[in-house]
Amino acid sequence: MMDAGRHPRIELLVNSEVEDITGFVGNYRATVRRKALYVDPAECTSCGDCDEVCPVTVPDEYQQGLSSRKAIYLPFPQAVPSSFYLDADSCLGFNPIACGKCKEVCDKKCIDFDVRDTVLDLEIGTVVVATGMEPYDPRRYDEYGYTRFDNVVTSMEFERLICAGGPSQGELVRPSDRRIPERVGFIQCVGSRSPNRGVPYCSNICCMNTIKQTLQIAEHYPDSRQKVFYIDIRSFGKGFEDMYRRSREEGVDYVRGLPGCVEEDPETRELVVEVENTLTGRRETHRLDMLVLATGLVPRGFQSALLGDSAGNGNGNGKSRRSIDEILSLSHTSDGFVMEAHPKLKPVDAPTRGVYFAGCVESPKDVKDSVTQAGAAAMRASNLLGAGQVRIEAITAELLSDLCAECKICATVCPFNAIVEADKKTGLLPDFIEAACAGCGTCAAECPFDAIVMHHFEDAQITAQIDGILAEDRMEKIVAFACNWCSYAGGDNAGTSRLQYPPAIRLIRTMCSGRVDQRFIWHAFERGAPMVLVSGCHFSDCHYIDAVTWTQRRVEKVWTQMEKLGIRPERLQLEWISAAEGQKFARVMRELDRMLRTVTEEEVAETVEILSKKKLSQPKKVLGPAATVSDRPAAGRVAATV
Amino acid sequence: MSPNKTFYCLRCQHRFAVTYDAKQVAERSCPKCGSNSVRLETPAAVAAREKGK
Repeated sequence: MMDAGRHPRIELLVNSEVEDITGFVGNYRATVRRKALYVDPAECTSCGDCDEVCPVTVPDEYQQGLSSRKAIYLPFPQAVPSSFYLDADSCLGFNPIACGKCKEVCDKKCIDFDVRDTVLDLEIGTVVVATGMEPYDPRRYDEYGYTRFDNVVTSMEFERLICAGGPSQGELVRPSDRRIPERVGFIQCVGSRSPNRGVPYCSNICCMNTIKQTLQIAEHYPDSRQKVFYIDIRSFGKGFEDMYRRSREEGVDYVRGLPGCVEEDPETRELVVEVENTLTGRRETHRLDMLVLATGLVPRGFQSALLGDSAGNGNGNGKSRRSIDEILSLSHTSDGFVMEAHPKLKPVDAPTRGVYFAGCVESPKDVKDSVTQAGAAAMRASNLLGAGQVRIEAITAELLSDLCAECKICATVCPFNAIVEADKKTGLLPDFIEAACAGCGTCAAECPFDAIVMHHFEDAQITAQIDGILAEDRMEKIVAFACNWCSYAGGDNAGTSRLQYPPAIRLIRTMCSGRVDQRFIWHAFERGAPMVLVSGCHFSDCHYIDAVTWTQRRVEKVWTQMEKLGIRPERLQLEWISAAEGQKFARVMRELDRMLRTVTEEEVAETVEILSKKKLSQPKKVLGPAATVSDRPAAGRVAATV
Repeated sequence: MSPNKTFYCLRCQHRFAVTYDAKQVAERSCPKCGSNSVRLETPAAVAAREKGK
């Protein structure tokens, strides 16, 4: 932090909030609200005179509420910039000035109550999202007695207690009576690996953090006795197994099993822990002086959802996380962390070009992994900026301006905000920013006027494939649209795993299932397809943020229309198959093959006849002036340079 | 709290109730066969299906 603060080419905007980011790779514009600091960080020498005279005392967030701070305070000893900060919410008020003692004693005259928020408009090339995570709030585990018993603390609170800069100057004391605990217990996986009350995933850091803390206690208090209640210890990583072994050698008792209940002896304030030791199969009772809950990590903003509204949100600031998600159109995996462009090949890239991730915003990770990922994100960003230009895939959307009716649907559905919507008042057409387009094809599929060409996946190319498939033995075939990243790869997986499935399926690959225009489906039925399958990624795996949701909406529309036309909607199937689900792919194909056998020649002939009158596979015709305009400028045209 | 709505599976014809919010598009699957081809059972859809038979 210190290096970053001193670097001539790094500008730290502390106490600031990103309100908006527009544009695209290399050409982002960020609106940042720089909140009033009231203390000039360039002038403040951190002498602490202001702190001494401040009459306001509030719990210190950095010390987890275990000690107090003043309304003007140094956030923590290594804070960058190293200057005092005035907490306007806690201050007695300065409009008019109600106290002003801090200002009176400040020799450097660096306190100014008249400072106001400023809004900065920044031109930036890339964005690194490093908004972190939150520790799980253990109040949902009522049986562990957190907040009911003073001597039950979280691992974060314990960290402050044993830290030399903590509220007890590194002396490990029980909160109830400030006595040094002789028997300390740790409960693992509080909130982690618990789909019902917490999160289903392993939080990655808790086991090693507990092992580290047991070693700290053993070093500071050799006579102490420690017990760790665990499901299993996950100590993978360089040197980690060695630390675990050392902890055991220090006499730490590892008990396999999570406690069922914790009670407190009202006289001695001892904690009585009941646990079933799953190694011995016996129920055990342990008496402890202090209990530490190794809480898991959760994505920002998910705490309130986990706890429910009534429990409140103790320490999370979900608002900022949600807003940055909305601003950058970030998508999430099923566990709530942001989704990378590719889990193996682009682990620090967001699906949106020029946006990168660092740290726990992407997944729970320890300091080492966070630093590694931050370095990778910085390198990815500097490579892009250094090159001065971006190389993009040729698979991008292009507008046929003659056909555009300025309906704005394309701009609405684009997951990457790559389309600046048309403006009917000024007559500007939608602007397709190639550098921001990721090539999902959702815009082309949704355009009712066929005014968008998806290069390499053009309508004519796809309909030609449909025609080719149905040219012979059509009653023996299922036309299947599969997205490149998941379903098509799932088929590959089934093949390489030598899984058997009927040969009826004929795959048409698209980059995303969002590209599957309903006119393709109608075209297939018009040409006598007995069955059609649309398949794509699971919602949490979509490589194009939320393009897959448009696929579902579209298929639902087609089902509705099929019902109205008297065509069995069962003949159009929808399936989400991931790249790892080769078995599911094979199973679905077997099921569809069975369904194929129920479709008769007469039914197909009837469908062809119905659809021949409806012409559902044809685009809408543009009426009015748009049909003749071909040289109008596009809305918000910006040069695509870095 | 979103109300429960009845869905039916276009693969195994199983009917089931899940919470439904018209504003949110969610991934759904049939609890019986696991298929993602599930339809919201609206009166219009039922009528149209009956008519189509």
